[in-house]
Amino acid sequence: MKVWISEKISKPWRKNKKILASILHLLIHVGSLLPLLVGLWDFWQGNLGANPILEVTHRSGKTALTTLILSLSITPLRQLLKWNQINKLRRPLGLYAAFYAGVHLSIYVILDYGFLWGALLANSLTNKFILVGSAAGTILLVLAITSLNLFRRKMGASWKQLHRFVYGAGVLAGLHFILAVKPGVLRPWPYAAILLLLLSYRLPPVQTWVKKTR
Amino acid sequence: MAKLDYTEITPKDKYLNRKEFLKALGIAGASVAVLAACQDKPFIAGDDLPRQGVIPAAPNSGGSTEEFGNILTAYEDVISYNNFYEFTTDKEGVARLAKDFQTSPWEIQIGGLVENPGPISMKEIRNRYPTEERVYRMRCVEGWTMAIPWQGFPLSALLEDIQPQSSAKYIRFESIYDPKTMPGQSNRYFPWPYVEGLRLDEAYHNLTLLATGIYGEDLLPQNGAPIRLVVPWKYGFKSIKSIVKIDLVEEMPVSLWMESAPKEYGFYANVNPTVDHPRWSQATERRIGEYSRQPTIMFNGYKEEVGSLYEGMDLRENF
Repeated sequence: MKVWISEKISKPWRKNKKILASILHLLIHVGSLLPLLVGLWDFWQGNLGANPILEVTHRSGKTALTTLILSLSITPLRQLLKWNQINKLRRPLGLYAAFYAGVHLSIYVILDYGFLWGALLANSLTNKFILVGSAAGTILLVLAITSLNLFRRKMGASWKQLHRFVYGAGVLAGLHFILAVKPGVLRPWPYAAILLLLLSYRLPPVQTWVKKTR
Repeated sequence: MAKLDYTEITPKDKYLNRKEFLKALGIAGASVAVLAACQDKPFIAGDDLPRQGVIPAAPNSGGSTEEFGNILTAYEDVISYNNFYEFTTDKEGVARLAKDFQTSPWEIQIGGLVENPGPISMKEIRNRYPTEERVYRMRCVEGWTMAIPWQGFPLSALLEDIQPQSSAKYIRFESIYDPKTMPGQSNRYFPWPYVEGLRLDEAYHNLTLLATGIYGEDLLPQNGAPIRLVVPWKYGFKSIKSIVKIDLVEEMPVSLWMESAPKEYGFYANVNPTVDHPRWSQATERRIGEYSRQPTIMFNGYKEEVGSLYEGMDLRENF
């Protein structure tokens, strides 16, 4: 019976993995562009509430974090589901994360502070979360640029090492959110919990276990 | 001080950008001059102010301004953007969750070191203390600010009736605790109920208000109905909402924020651009309804009135 069920499920699953990956690929583009379009629409319509700049700051930050989390979930899904076709989703997700991190930072520098460099510098020195967030953004930017095939070819083995910094970006981005809210505010914690899970998956003992069970 | 006129349209103020604002203000100099002109009855609009009926029905304030040229914050924004953690930590979610909050009947328990303790009902409060209109800036510790026309009466009027004993040094306020109707109170991180306090000289200060309304209307639950404190030279969180208990005490009260984050929130919490919060620089602020930032002014611009309360005190130490 058990075998029969797993046969019944696994057979079409194996067949449709490729199609499913392509559908996911499309969904990722649509889903990742949607927050930008909705944001622009809400801005146009005046739907951003009493503090629109803060609202778009929060939205872009959450989108950056969400796409980063999704990009970090590709490898575990690929390994656990033996689903190699989804590997191609990693790069667009990472690029969207870097894009929204850039939007997030631009809103802060341009819209929020209007290039008041003195105030921005003071913030960076006094506020840990600004420093931590800037570091996360810088990593994502560097990874986005070097994701071009040109760099990938040129850098060889060091490319892979460089792109492991995405784990650091994940830690810093989660920390940035936690430090940005008042103590007792729970909004960052679901994100932090998922990040912790995805990053622990990369720990050597976990990896050994994954490889053994495959 | 310029009188308020809700119907007056002054588009000039709306289009003043930050630079012009700074120039117009001359930062300290001009503001002190403006404030000094107000003498000891600052920012009180007076009785010739248009009352009910002329309040703009639309979310717009009609372009009227307070003495720094700040356009009054749109009523719609004042009632939809609130920090009231008893309901939720989401500022834009408070109004919806607080919609059915019961504020009648309501009474405040007066106790501690007073000659006349006991409960006082909202009905008695309304009968005994005539309200006046005052336009105050409200500066949130998060770096945003509003200009709000309050209806209220000086806390000193209540203090004169309840008569603090000579040993009383502080006043301690408590908000309502009712987790059944206030879902945010199930967040056990915070030591509910909300507690705030003032030194007695701060409490007696003429600027310190017990407010029961805004824009000529009774307070809505999200704004702290039926009665709240307004202390305009301190960060907004000092202005405790939905008060049910007032005690006169000898020791400095420990507020909810002092207890839950002692490094971030002190007892005084005076608006001070030179003392940063660990998470936010306090040098600038954004008025709700505008895009650019303005410099934050010492004591939220009320230095002339309250500066003497803190003479000789290290305000970095007593943050």
